Amino acid sequence: MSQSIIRVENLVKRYKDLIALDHFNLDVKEGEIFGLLGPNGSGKTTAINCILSLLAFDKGSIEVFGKAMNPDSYDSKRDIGVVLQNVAVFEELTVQENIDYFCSLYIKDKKKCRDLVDEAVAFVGLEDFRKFYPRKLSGGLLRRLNIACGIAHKPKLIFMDEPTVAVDPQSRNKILEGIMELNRQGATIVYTTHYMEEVEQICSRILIMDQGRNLAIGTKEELKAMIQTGETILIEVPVLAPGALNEIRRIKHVFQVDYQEGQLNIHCTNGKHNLIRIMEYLSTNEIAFGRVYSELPTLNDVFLEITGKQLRD
Amino acid sequence: MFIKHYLYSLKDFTMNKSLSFWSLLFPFLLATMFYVSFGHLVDGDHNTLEPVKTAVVIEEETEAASYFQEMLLTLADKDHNILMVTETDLDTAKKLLQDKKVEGILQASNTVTLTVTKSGINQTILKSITDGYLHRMALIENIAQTNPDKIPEVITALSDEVSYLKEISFSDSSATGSAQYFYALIAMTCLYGSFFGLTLGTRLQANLSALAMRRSVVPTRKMRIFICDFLAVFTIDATILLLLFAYLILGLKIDFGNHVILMLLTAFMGSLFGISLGTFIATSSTRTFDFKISISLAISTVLSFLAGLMVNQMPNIIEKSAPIINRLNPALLISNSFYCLTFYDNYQVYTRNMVTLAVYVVIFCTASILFLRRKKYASL
Repeated sequence: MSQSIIRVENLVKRYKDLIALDHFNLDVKEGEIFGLLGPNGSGKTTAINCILSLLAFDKGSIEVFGKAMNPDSYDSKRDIGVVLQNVAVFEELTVQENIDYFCSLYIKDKKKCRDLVDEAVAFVGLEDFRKFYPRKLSGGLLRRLNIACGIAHKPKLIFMDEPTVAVDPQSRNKILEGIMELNRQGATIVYTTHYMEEVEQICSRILIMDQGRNLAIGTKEELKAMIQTGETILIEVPVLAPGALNEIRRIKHVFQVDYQEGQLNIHCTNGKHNLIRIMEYLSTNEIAFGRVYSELPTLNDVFLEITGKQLRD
Repeated sequence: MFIKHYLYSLKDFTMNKSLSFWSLLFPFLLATMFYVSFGHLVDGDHNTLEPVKTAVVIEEETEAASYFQEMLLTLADKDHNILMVTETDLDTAKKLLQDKKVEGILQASNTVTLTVTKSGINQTILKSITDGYLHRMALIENIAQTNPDKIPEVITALSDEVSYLKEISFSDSSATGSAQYFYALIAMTCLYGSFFGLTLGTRLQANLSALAMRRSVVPTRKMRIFICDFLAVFTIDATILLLLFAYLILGLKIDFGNHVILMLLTAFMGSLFGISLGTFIATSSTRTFDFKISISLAISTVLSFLAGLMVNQMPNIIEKSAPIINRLNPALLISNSFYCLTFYDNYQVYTRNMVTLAVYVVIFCTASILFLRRKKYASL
């Protein structure tokens, strides 16, 4: 079992009457890409800021690299990289200069710093933009610069707070590939987002949170196994007799049926031959149907079942 | 690494356009506007007023006319050189006035009358001379009726009046009176250093900017980053002041006397004050950057106004009612220090002003560092 890199216990953070973190717990192991998943305002960024000792909190404890984290934990900070939600670079320094500035805040050796800057520029694919000023970069390139500034010093632990917000698909893929590469190189990554596809794609373990509380934690398979939905079948049905919904609901493994705008949504528990049984019912009762889809549960289904609301609300 | 960070900060602040406008272009524009608006005053310092050509007609040889004639000769002598008198008859005088060879006609008998054909500075001078004379004569006549025995004393007193006003130079400086507008302008430029301080402070507080947040999670002490940034903005502000001095002295030919180096050092101290004030404003509150810019602008403008940037008599007015404001107003401390150097050679007051400014700088910097050292923020 890998050792804990971050351990947060019973963290409580209040903003006057609002409880941003409500006895929040976190245990991130060395070498994993840990996804913090939750809708906007769920407390993801607050949790990260508390761990980084930027925010004061009301209760609980935080340990990073086995030591209590505080603003003067310079030894720990030396091994931490942060990619903030908002782009944080100097507007009047070039791409190269920005990365060099931030890298040199961590690395004293000039040559080593220079090499690391070159590596970071190549890593985020900004070789052709070294002399560009941030204002001349597209949103995606700017995000890549933001990442380069946070990881140039090759930290052991990287916090990435929604690094793909407002990024084009090409840059998003580049960023996600980069994160996996950093992980392969040995970095532990804490990745916050409200994009479930990203979490499913890159994270080895996921914590779903809402209203400052842990709702569920595990691998994506473990999380999906926690919920009732094993398969969702969607069928285009132009006309459906009034009693048909109740009859479908009685089919084995079916636990929820919705019919809206000519589409039948059937939620089944994990079971075999669900689709065959439903097709048989439709044929037997001479119910005309169009296209048929079968989907495995997503993290959104997990979130929906746990909280009763969509992840992107 | 310290030098690298300093140089990067220097570049970033230098290329910031809004900062450049307020700190560099605005004072230059204002200096040019001052020069255009008060240009005649500046010129007047170098080229003394021409004597007013005046025709004098003695209509009746009375004692009063004789006294008036004597006064005119005094005003026309080389010490005063206010009038250029042509004594003639009325017809010739009228012809001279018509041909614009004189600015006015003074006719003397038992009383004095002035004839002019237009209004202007020269006509105003003649009117003042006439009114002054008539006022004195009225005074003497009044006393002659009430206390005739006092007349010799009154005449003696009126004659001695001139001796109460004697021009004494306190300095060997050649600086001119019109320089005061530019002193206030330099003081204002120093206070505009607060915009640099505001930006500096905002970039160091994690609850004010994303950049500061990133700089708060690095393993480098905030104090070190603060010193780098502070030195960078001071370098820029000092350079701006240097350029402003060069523009005023070499471009606009404003005479600042013989203590330009000390004046420059004074301006540098003012710059330190401005930057530390801005840093203090930035770090002491969580309000928006725009709000703080407004506060800083308001403070700079009010202090400059009180120092006489808009109304040059303002410090004198304040001195009579609330002198403590003058002792504490940093804009006035700066401009007053310039006065001390150029007009009075008064190093005691100058030193007191510099010490006061230094105390301000220490207080604001200390407070800012304390605010910056706040360990964690309640909200971001």
